Amino acid sequence: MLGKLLKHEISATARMFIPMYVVLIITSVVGKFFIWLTSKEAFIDSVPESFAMLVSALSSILTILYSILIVAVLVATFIFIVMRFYKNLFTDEGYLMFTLPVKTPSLIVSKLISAVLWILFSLVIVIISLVVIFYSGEIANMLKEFWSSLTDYVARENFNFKDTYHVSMPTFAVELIILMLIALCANLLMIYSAIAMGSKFSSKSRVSGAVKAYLVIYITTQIATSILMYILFTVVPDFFGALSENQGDAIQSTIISTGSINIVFCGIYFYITNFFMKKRLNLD
Amino acid sequence: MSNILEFKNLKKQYGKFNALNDITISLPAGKIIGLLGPNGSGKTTLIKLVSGLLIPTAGEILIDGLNPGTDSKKVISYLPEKNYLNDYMKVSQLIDFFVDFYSDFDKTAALDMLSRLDIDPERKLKTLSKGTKEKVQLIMVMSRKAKLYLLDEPIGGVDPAARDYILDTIISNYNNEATILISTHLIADIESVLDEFIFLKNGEVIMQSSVDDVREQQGKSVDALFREAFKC
Amino acid sequence: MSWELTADRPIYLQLIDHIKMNIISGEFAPGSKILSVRELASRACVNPNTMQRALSELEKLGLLYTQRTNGRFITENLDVIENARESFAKNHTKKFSDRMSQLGLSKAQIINLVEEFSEEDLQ
Repeated sequence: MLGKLLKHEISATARMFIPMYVVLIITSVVGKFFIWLTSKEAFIDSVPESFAMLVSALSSILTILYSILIVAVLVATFIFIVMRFYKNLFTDEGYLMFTLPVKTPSLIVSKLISAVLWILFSLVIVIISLVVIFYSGEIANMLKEFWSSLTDYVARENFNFKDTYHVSMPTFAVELIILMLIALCANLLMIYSAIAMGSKFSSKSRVSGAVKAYLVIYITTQIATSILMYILFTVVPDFFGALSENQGDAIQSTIISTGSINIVFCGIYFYITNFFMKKRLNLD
Repeated sequence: MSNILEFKNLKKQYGKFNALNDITISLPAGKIIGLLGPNGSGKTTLIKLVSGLLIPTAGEILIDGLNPGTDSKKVISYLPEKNYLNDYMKVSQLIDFFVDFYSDFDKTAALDMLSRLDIDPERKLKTLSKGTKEKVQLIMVMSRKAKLYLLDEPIGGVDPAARDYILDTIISNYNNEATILISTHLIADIESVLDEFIFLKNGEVIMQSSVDDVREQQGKSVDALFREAFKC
Repeated sequence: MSWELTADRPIYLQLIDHIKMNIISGEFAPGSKILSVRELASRACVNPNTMQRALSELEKLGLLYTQRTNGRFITENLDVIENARESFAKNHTKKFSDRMSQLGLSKAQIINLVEEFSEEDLQ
């Protein structure tokens, strides 16, 4: 059932996301063409100065607009994800979703996976867009050089790195990526639990209820994390000392503890979301 | 014939307000039953409790012997008063959705009913009129071979021709092992379709009987009886 | 004939009367096959269970019979139909004359009225 939910989730949300990404790619292609055109010597020679100045002013404006566009696409992706969760489950569509013969956790997980996939995809699109804009023969060569020197560096220094940090470089990179994914899930689930809590109220105060719930959860999380840190550093003897002695271990423990704490938070937020969806559902 | 629905001391409270108060009744399988009462009497609350959208404050609900949950949802086909469709879906996508999640969904029957209404499955739901969307929702619900159909105010606010279509769809898709529970406050229009009925007043069941019994024993229609029982 | 149902009598009884009329008047020909329960219920806009009950009663009366695989048929027994016509007519006439008596008409006046209106119909 989860697979089916996920399939429908992605195809239903595609109509929100794909157009945006297509626009971004097209914009980058057009922008690239513009850059290519205005950099051609023939062009520069053939136009009067005033026009050339106009073009360069236009370039600056377009560059700024382009950066705004990239930010907008990333922000919009996030906003659409939040809106989707609310609209599909806590407005009239909820009458369909909550009477499906699926368990409540499946509803949450399908939305979470879809959200993570779209966020990753949006990053890929942005990267592609930047590559399109900035790609040129020179840059390609520069990148090739950079990549070969990087791989050399990794090959050479890996031994040292491993010694100091106790893991190989690629492993370290993977650890960081996993850490970021867990943090992403925690953030999404925190928002989901706020929405689920806010829906307990009638539809008029639902949004403000969700916002208030989010603030409460956020503040509680910060307080809980601070207390945890305090305990860790004062109660556990010599924790600080142990950290500064062995860099490799310290970093590994930081990664593992941060990851674990976030996983615990994921669990807590998931539980809250599930509880309010299952036991406190109040569709208008 | 066993009971498809059982309520045992069912209670639903919102703060201090008792939406449903100590309901203890059983509904048999294979009947078309009317849940009759004025607005605010608790009909929608009762239906939502059966469909799993609300949790009881106290008491028990059994659907074919099951507590409300994933398994009971498999055998319940629910038509809410709301339009629960995503406007950007095509009708064909909606059908695929039901096929995916409900193993008892009869795709052929649904397509047949849609074609008889001249609804092209490739159309997007948002291009349909409100009345047509309601009929599409009804077709989806009645195309399932469920054990219990819950229809919440299916004929409220529709024109007479649409009402006839809705009642006809209910009659034609009815299979006599299933129970259809229709909640409405428009009794006269629906009386000839009902086997039995329940009167719900202020969250309590004040009568449960069959339409024929009332007519035979009291010589009046359920509609007339309702007006007496619910006189303002 | 449209299925007009009143509010005060059990529906299945009204359905029985309606179908009886159709059989007696010949609109449903003797020996012919009738529609399925569901179809009839749909036409009359009633609960299929109720229609089923009416049809069962009519079978008991001998006006319908079921061939297990083929469906339901009107009886070919013209005597049964004739009996039904007689008792239906008697029933209605009794009701009519009781009503007329209630209005204060004498037997002769009632008969005159009947003649008047019967003749008109034949014209």
